[in-house]
Amino acid sequence: MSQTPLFALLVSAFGCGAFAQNAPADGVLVPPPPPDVSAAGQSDEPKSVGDFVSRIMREDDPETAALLLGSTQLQDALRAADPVDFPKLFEHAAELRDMEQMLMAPANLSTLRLNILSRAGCRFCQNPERMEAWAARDRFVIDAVKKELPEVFWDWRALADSQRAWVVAHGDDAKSWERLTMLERRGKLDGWAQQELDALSKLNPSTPAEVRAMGERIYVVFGIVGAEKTQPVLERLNQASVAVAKLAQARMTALPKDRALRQALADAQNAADPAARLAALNRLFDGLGRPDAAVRAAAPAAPGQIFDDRSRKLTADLLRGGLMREISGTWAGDDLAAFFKDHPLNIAVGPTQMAAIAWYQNDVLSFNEKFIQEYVKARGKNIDDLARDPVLLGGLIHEVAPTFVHEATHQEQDAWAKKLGIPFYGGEGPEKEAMTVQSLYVLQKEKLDASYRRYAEANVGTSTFVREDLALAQDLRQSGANWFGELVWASHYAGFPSIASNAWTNIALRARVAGDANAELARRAKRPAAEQQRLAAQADFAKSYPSVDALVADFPKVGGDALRDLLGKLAKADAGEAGVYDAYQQRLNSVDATTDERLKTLNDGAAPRDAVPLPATVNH
Amino acid sequence: MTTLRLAAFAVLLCAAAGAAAPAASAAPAREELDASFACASPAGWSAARRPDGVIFSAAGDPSGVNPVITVRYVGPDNKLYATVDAYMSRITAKPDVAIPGWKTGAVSSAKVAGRAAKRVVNEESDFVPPHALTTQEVPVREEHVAVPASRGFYVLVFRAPRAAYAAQRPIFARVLASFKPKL
Repeated sequence: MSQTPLFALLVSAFGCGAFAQNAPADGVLVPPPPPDVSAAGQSDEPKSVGDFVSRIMREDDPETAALLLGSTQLQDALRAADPVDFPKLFEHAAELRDMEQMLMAPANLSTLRLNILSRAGCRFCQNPERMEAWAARDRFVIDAVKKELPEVFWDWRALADSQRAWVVAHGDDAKSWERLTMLERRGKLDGWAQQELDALSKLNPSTPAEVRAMGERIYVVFGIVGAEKTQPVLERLNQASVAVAKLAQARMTALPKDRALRQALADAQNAADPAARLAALNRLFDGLGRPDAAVRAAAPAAPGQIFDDRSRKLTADLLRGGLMREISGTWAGDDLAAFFKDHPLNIAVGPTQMAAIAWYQNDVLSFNEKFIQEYVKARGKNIDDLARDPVLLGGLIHEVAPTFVHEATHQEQDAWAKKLGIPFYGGEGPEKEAMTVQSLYVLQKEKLDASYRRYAEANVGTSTFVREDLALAQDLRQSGANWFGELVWASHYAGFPSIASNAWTNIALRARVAGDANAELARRAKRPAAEQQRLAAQADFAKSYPSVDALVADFPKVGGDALRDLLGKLAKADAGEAGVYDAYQQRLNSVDATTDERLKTLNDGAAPRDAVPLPATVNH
Repeated sequence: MTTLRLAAFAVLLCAAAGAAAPAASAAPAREELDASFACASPAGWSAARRPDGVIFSAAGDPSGVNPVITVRYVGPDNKLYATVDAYMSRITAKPDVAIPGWKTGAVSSAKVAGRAAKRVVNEESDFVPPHALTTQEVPVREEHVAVPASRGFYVLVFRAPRAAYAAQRPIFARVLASFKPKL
């Protein structure tokens, strides 16, 4: 992973003076009153600095926090009253808002857990006892999430027997466990997870029930170590799942009196691992003259089906030219062609532990080589055949073009954010937009291009990706852009950061950094004059830091001016955060409006033409 | 069960009001419509307010697809479907390429909030996680109920994994029964 310019992220400000931080009418930045709040409650509002500090810092009261976050006048008054401790107060208010945003929407257990773990600097979030007590009191946190929290935080009573046994064997008990933070609990359970991963990597399930049981065990491990480390066992599970289903199918098939075929079936039944079972099934189905695409895709790769640097570059070059030709003539294609006139179009093919078939990062659009490998394997071809077989390449390009449009939209968003001088956030706005642009592309493409439509019709029954693209496009056509985005977000991205929660997370993070910088300056002020002079003359910050913790760890080593400069930039960034929120929201609104206009002009029922030629091969 | 009352929100009909405004007026007059509504909030579901409605979501379906109920107002200036009939026509339009497992239901009549509404149930599918090697298809059932208003209309939609639909349908029935539109 590359070094993240976190310093830039922390201090990038957006110069939109017209946006009032406490003003949004629909109560996104300032939470709306809960349904059963009555006017009588208002007499209980905090009245003094002490009230605010007590309610936010000691009682974790989200309503007082919302009051503070929603009023710049209040912030100014409290900052003036206690300039040193104000950042801590503000930080915790933002943490409360951030956590409330996260826990008021449904999300699965693992997503919740990973989201909380990712906030390593939030001492409140990492304290299971305090978080659970707070969530129980908070009226916005939904019941389903409250019930999940003991498991999310690995409370003693929620641990699996094997986890508890591991923890006891390594010196802890219920009492000592209670005192641990969430991160410390994960650290302890990591050993158990590694042991479990070892066991899972040797499993060879042979019935659907055993496949399900393996999946459940992987899910538990996933919640501790995350996606990257579980990917190898997930692949084994996928192989096992296909192998078990296809073995059942093979057993039902009447085999001719052919010794090789009967041996293949016997080998599949007695295989020592899922890969061997798939290889035997592949021999069987090929021998029957009924090659099975799912078995071929999951089976071990032949030498010509394994990527190396040369074939990665070859495939990336083929995709670069083919994809831009494929999308030309569509709205998305025209928009992206204009964008790529003055932005780099870097396509890469590479390995990843992620399950995503493509991703965008730092001006590079990358495709997961495993997806392409499975595509050629399912057709009994080699990677180099992509350069020789226009139909094979054309099919791949039809399959990945919608995803290319999605990821290229993220590159456009990144360039837009850079141009405005604001951070490029993932989450709600960018994902809704990318899904919308991608789905409109499919909807238009199936109307314009007969070759795409034929491909879609021929493969909709067998390709999950084609089916998914067509389904999303139809959802967009039915709902219109705004509600398509809402439904995609509610159905698929539960637990991902919303535009508002990105704002709160950053405000909380900056408040924490400002608190530490103030504390360092206060510490220096108490030192003898000679030492103060020496500290003031220390170096400036480095250009980038791998983490916020690394940035904060440098505070004692940098000069006083550098710290004060940082504080000024943090304050400016906080003042601009509402503008960042506004910019993301306006961009999404604009995309929705354009999409609805375009949807309206799509001529339902028009016959598609062969206007876009099949991608040609690329010469090297 | 608690009752959720959405804050009144204004729908600005600039074009229509402008046409009716006196010609001498430099700025078009703005007419504000209160299209708010009240409905039961499903216990234990999250409620996310939107400018034109609310999204209730339930957590924890093993399929990975959250059951969702949406209630929203659609103004007469909507670009894609300005009337109940236009909405039903769009929601029952068949895909250009037939998708296995997808079925468009027949539009039927219903009574909601004492008004003659239209209802349709479609069979669809969701894909989780999106665009991944491990993507799984989840059959989904989607019920749309469009309720006319004095201007525009309201839409109540229940979307759930097919396996969970029957068990959760009574929750949607309670939302429908409690629905009180203002317009």
